Amino acid sequence: MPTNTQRFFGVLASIGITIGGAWLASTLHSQATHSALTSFPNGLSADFKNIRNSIGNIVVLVFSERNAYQAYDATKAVAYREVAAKAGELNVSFPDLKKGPYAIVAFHDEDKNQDLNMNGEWPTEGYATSGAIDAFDIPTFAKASVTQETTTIIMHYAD
Amino acid sequence: MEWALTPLSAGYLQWLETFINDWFFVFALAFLVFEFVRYAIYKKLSWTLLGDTLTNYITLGFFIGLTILFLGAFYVVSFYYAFQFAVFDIEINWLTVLICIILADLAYYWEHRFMHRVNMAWATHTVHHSSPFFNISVAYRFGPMDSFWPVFFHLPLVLLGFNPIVVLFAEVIVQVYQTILHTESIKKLPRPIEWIMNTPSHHRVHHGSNPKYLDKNYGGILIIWDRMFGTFEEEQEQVVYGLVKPIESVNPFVAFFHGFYRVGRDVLRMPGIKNKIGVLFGPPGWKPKVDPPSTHPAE
Repeated sequence: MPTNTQRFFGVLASIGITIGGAWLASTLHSQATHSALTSFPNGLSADFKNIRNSIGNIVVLVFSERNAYQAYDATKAVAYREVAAKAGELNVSFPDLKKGPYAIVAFHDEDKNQDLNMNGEWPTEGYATSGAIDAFDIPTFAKASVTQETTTIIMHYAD
Repeated sequence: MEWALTPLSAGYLQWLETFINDWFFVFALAFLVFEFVRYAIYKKLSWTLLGDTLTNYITLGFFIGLTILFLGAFYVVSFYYAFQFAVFDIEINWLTVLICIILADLAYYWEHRFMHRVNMAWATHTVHHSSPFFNISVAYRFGPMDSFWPVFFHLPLVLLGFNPIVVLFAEVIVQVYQTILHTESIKKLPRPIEWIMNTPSHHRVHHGSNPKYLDKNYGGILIIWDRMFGTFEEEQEQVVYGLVKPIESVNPFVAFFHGFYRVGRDVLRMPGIKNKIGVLFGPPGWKPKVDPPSTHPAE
């Protein structure tokens, strides 16, 4: 049976280890935090990669405002464009968009119904968000904000 | 080392958590078959063993039901509420996930110790210890509130800045590691492993009702916590599994609710409000201190 002194120092040591561990974790960054580099003198441009075929359109929405981005509210997008899909890579540019922050959302509208088709929770068409690390990532507006004039965005297919 | 610092998405980790949990369940079922073959070789197969094993999975069903209905929402809501007040900004990458697993393991140690030493929490955790057997199916034997108490012990990690999904992932890793310890088929592992890590041998001690094994080896993944905090015991004498007062039943309802029944009964029977509180917050078997006999001669 532990003594009261052991109990006291045990709890104290655990609190120290926990706070110290969390502090250490907070210093382990992959890169400096996104500084808001949001000025694009030549306009915004996106390179879409991994487009699986040339059927239908790539629908691209650009948001400049957090709430509109979070709600995927197309009526509040600062730009909307439908471009004929091309297997592999496709560049879509917005020469008028010069002052961000901008988050880009796109999907591969293969049946041209202007909507991302879903099967339950799984998209059955390609989808993409700027700043997304992988197919599961739903980045916050800050993370989705583009920091380069030409940004590369991967199209993900869940099926 | 670049891979260790590559950012991961919370969504990926959530997917991985479900993947590990589900496939480990399948592995555990296969391992159980192996353990039954072993029981057969040692001529230890019995109807009680079979009933007890089934009861383990039925309590798991009850536990999952309660978690989905009530406790899961409580977990998620409190974690996300707390996350707004996070102290540090912690990126999700393999290194920070590893740190979170170690800290969650420490939190698990205290949660586990609390669940053994405070009656109102023991009421649920006693279910896990009420099997007189020790095989991988016992790891899935849960009590009604087993997903309630851990919230309080892991909330500090969220408050410090670990993403709720990372904390849940870490908890699942600790739980999965713990699961594989429930076996008699692995005797002792090499010394350095037995010194640092929790092992089947250490966990057999934890499940013992032998007086010297009581309230020992609370660790999840690491046994060093027990060595540090004075609760370690080495496996020496043959372990007698189960409770000091066995439930002597394979009825899943008896197994699932006996803890609450016993604690409730003890609280009701105990005279005086102060003593009732003593039973609730004291360790199993708590009794009020008896006043020393009067030194005055009886009149």
